[in-house]
Amino acid sequence: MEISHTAPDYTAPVGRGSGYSAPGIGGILTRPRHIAPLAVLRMAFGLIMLISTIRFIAKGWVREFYVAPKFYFPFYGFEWVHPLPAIGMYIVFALMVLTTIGITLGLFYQVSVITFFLCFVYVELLDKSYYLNHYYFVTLITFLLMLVPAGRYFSLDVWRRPSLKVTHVPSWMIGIFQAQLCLVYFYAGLSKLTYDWLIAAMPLKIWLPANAGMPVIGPLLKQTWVAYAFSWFGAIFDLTIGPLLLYAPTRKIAYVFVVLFHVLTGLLFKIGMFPYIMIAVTIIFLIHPRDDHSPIPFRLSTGKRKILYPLLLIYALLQLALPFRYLLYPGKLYWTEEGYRFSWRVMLMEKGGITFFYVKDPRTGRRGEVINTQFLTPLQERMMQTQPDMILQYAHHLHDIYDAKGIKDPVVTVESYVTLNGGGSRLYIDSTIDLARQQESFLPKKWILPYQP
Amino acid sequence: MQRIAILFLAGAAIIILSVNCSKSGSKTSGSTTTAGNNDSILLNLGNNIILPSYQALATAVNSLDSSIDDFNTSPNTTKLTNIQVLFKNAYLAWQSASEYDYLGPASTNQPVLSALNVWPTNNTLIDSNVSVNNDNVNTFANTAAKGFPALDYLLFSAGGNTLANYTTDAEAAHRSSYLAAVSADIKTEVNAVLTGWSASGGNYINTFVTGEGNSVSSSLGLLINSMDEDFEILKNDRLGIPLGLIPVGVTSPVLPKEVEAYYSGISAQLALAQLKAVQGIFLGNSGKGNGLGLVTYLTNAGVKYNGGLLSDTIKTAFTLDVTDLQAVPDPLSQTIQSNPASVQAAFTVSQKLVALLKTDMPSALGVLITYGDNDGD
Repeated sequence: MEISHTAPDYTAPVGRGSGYSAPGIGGILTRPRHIAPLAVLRMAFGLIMLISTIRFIAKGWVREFYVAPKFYFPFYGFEWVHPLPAIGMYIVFALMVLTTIGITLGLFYQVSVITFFLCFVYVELLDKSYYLNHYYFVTLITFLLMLVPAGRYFSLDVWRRPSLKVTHVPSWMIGIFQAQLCLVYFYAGLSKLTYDWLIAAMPLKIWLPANAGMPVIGPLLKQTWVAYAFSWFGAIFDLTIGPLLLYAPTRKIAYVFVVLFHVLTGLLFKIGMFPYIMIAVTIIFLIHPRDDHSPIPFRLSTGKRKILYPLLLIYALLQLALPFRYLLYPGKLYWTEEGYRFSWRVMLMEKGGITFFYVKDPRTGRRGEVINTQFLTPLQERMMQTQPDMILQYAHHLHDIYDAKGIKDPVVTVESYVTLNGGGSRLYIDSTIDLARQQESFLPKKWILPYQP
Repeated sequence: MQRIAILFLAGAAIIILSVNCSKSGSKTSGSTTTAGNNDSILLNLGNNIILPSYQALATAVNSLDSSIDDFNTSPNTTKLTNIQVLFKNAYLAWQSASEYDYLGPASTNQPVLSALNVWPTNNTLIDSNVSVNNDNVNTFANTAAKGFPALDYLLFSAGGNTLANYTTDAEAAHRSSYLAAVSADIKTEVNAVLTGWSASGGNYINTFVTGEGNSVSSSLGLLINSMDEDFEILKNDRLGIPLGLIPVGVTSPVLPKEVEAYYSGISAQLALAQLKAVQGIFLGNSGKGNGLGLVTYLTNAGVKYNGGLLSDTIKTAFTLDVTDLQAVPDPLSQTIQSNPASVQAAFTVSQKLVALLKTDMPSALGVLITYGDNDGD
């Protein structure tokens, strides 16, 4: 194999019922390509997720996040998803370790990748306190990996059963990952084109001096111009890296930038495995093997195509549209966070809050303040305090708890203060509203007070 | 195919190397020192405020402990009065050191000073321990039967009959040994923490003054988190719960027995001492300091708040809170019934101060408020 800049000289077995066809856009998408990029992606992604899962377990987060809490914040519509007893949660994580090994080695690939997907999504749905963009990203990549035969080349499955071997796949099977990556970077870049990021250099102006103790570059990080340089470079990087990775002459140097960018952000910010996941997955742009002499194409049955193509079309439209759904809501996005998740808005705001919840007995008028740490872990409390949908979920939980304790249908209100990007803290939620009577929905939440700049 | 393997292995190596790099990078970042303002702030806080607070507490509990031994050998009214005074001194000194319970040597699984002040104390358990002569106070079962609240009960609950409890009472000998055991436990625990901080012992003071930056694990991050967690106890446990403002199960009227130091009746003094200690950390000045404190970070960064400076807003809130708390007379257990409005006022200002110290200050300094752990993105 050789990394080649020129498109492979290739005569593919084209025929009906094979999934390869026709000229035009459809032709480009279904043109056969060597499967090596998928095999490499499979190994890189499997390995990094194996490391990530082991790290998660080693840090004691299974217990801390999914066993210790008394209350969880499920996603809207997924309130029926609950954690298993401790032993069950550990089994789920053990399964993730096994299946990431399976994915990496290409051993029982199909079973492994589907099981990993189910386990990972299950865990993510349990509590939105731990939502991270890169967990969403992992979910998407795993979903896409379920749809492609990444285990049928350079894998133990092929070694066991050589008949499984495939050397060529329709090019969309590789392109879909590249498109996903380009979309992530581009949307992340778009979300940086704001006054706060570009003109005020926020929140980097707050975050960078936090690393003033770092060797060599530490003292630089205190300088204001460095915050501006990082902000502008970050925005330009995100907006342009996709095309630069796709364009053959710039591909290699672009990947060097990917590695440098992510390693640097990994050193500066507490963002866990995210940089390394991106470095691993982006490898897919680099693999351009010379073709085998006796190609074995992967054949996609007509039935499967009839399911897959519409599914992928819907997937693509959703991916394109979701980050823009915030336009349907009034107010400042960073303040209300309506339409914030699943939109590749990464490291954009320094937000802190505090909430004083009150429970009132409607009959006696007696009111008491809740001590949040009695019901939430410190991490859950911190995440809840700046996110209105979580404030609402917690208020409902308090209603139920005190109702069960004998205060019939209590009134739950909150006095909450939030500071955004270094601005002074302001009242966040209408403190007169009985949150127990407000329902979660996709409609705008009228009880979030408007942002006062 | 072999080349794919080589390329893949090379990629994996890069990733693993960079993971390791990031680990070693964050380790070294804490140990580098650069001359600058932030260093002098940590030096002042460490050497002039934190260490002296622990030293004062250790001196106070050592003195209390030897006086209790002396009292036990020949109990009389003078000696009783003396240890009651020494107890109050030590309890007040505790209030100026509890702010550091969640960093460094004190921050064990059960932070040391907090464990010595679990109130309301379990007087039934203390009585039964005395009855069966169980002096083994440092156990999980005796969490609420030791520390300062236990001394408070042992030295003040019987009023005029206290001396008799240690002389003529049928269980006098048992009670004397229990008193000594509680005091000795306090002494051991406090001195262990002091040793952990001291340059001649665990030398955490050096770790503290050189822990630059404002990550969660930096000295500033640890200190702000610890101080904030401690300050919430003032608002919630010292004022809110006794006032009946916090639902313990069901919202209730005032709860006099929930005050700190119920029997000696010095609750308001203790609360004031804690407030002033937190104010001292903020101003970098609690008697000995040179005025370089948390406020210095805010002033240096020129952080604004509603048109003015955040540093001024917080200073004013502290002053107001001190004034309000000074207006609350002891015993607090009676004040919350006779004049709840005065305690309410102090509670409200304390709440305002909690909001400023927990949101605006850390956010302005880029310090993450978390007592847990997770990645961000």
